[in-house]
Amino acid sequence: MTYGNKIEALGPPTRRAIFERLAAGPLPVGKLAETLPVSRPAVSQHLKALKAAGLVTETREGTARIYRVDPTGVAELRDYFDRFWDVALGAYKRSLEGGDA
Amino acid sequence: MKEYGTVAPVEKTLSLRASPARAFAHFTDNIAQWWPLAEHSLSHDNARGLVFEAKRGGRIYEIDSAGREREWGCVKECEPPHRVVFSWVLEKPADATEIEVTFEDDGKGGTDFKLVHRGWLETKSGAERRGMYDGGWMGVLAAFVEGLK
Repeated sequence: MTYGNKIEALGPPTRRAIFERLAAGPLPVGKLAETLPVSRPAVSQHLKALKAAGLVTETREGTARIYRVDPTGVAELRDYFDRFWDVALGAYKRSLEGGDA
Repeated sequence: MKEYGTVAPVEKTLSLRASPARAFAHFTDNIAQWWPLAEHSLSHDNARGLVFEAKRGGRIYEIDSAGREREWGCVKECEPPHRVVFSWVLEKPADATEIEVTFEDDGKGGTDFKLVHRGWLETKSGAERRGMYDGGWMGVLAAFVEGLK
């Protein structure tokens, strides 16, 4: 799963809201649906997409399925910014040393 | 956030052929000269300017083609020409992520530059953590990545 897929997966606002709630702690589908203005099946669909993108993992606890943020996925987001700063600071260094300062 | 482990800060170092004073001024006062604004901004092609107010409490904002100011962050600490710390908010409230930049004299007329971008997943308790994530870093990432497209 590439970085682009992760960003695409976080595009829809409801899905992003689900991800942000999970970032604060693991939750089952029912709890997520209670705090969002969407149906439980809709929440399940979003969770499926987040899982496919590698941003969320699912575990079984008894009869419940608990969803939580996948730290590996978060680390990849952070890595994206790692690369971003290379680009921006490269431009900064060239501009500074090229005499634009 | 122990449960998810920690996410290390992004750290970047540069060796610059310019004094700390020039490097600091170029990073802050002259940011519009080097920041790749068309590719990296909230307004994309409509971004027209970028301002970094290098003082404690100063704002960092972009200006779009309609003259609207769009917030990027706020300067938390400013010690020219050595150090500046600012929040990286990008129109999302509260402490999102944080960036610290230091400029150190390398003893040869140049500057050892370091940028640390931190606060990806922090151990924060209760309401603080909740608030952070509600308006926080994921929104920042998403908003920022929007600007990168």
